[in-house]
Amino acid sequence: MRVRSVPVLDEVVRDDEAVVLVGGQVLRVSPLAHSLRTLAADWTGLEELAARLAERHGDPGGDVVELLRAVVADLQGAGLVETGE
Amino acid sequence: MESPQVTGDPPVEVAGEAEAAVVPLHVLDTDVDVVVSGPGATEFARTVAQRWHLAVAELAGGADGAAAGAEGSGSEASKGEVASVEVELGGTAQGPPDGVLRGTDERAVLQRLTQEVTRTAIRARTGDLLMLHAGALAHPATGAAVVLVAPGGTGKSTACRVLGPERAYLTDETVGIRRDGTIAPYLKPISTRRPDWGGVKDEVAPSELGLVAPTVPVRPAGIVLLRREDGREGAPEVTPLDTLEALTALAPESSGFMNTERPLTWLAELLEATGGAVRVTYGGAEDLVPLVDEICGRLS
Repeated sequence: MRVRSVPVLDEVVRDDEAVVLVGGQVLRVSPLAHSLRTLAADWTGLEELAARLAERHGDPGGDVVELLRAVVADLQGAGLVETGE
Repeated sequence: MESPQVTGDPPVEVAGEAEAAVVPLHVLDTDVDVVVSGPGATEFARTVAQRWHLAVAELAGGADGAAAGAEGSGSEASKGEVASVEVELGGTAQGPPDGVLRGTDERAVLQRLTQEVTRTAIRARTGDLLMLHAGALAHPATGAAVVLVAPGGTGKSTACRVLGPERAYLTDETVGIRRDGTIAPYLKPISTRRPDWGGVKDEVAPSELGLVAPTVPVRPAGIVLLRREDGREGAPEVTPLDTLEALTALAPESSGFMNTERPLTWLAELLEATGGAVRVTYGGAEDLVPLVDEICGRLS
């Protein structure tokens, strides 16, 4: 699976977090999700993304790729990322 | 069409032979004509003009001009078309909605008129103004304004009524902030709910409550999210909000937000220029005096 950030209408970033305007909604984006969106500005493989996020935020333990898959699903549901094969 | 000016104060224009009258309002940098027809139109129009006396066009120009500053950004924004709201007295709502307010109960029609004028002005100014569901009062000399954000029916009008007489009144409903940082007044009547009127609000002329329009340019000096708790006693609890917290709290209390260019960035800049927003939990409007004094005491 590959992941890419979806452009938003407006974004305010303070420290490591953001608030974005997307799909008619104002959403708060956590530090992890903000990093994910930043690292996936272009299509990025899930394994590479997991490694880079673990580097930045620490290794959560367990199957990092599977954990990330769940995070990506949430962000996709919120309209913040898109996925492809 | 003949539109002779009826003598007396406030101004009402009588239109044509059938009973009809026009009250020209200037609200949120928008000209809105209230066009009244039907039996008793002239008298009803006089009532509208009396309740909306600070917003009658030829009078409201002074307040807007002051609030817009020497550059006159307010008048620039008001050069568009004149919007109108139609009221047909004695009529009954039949058939598909056509945008005309009909009715016979004066209080109910006045309340619906306020709602329709608000909708019309917001529609006209979407994209031009950053609009928050808020009341606002300002220091009469410096123009430093406190913006009191709250959902409908949770304290804005009461706060304006209680805290307004020593300050300049801007609105109890919608605060419109221009790109230059000044506030476009919305000098509407104060909407007051009375328990014996089955939920119909009374639209009270600001002058009856000792409220006056600003005479100097007005800018936000602080933004307060009101959280009223009935029965609460003691000092209010004031909680500072960081920029991101404030954005997520304020966005739902905005109008036209999604159709405004980069509204989050605009609001964040406003928040950070005014020291950020606070959430205040309080029991009665009088408890807000120290906070409102502090904000209106800031140099604008």
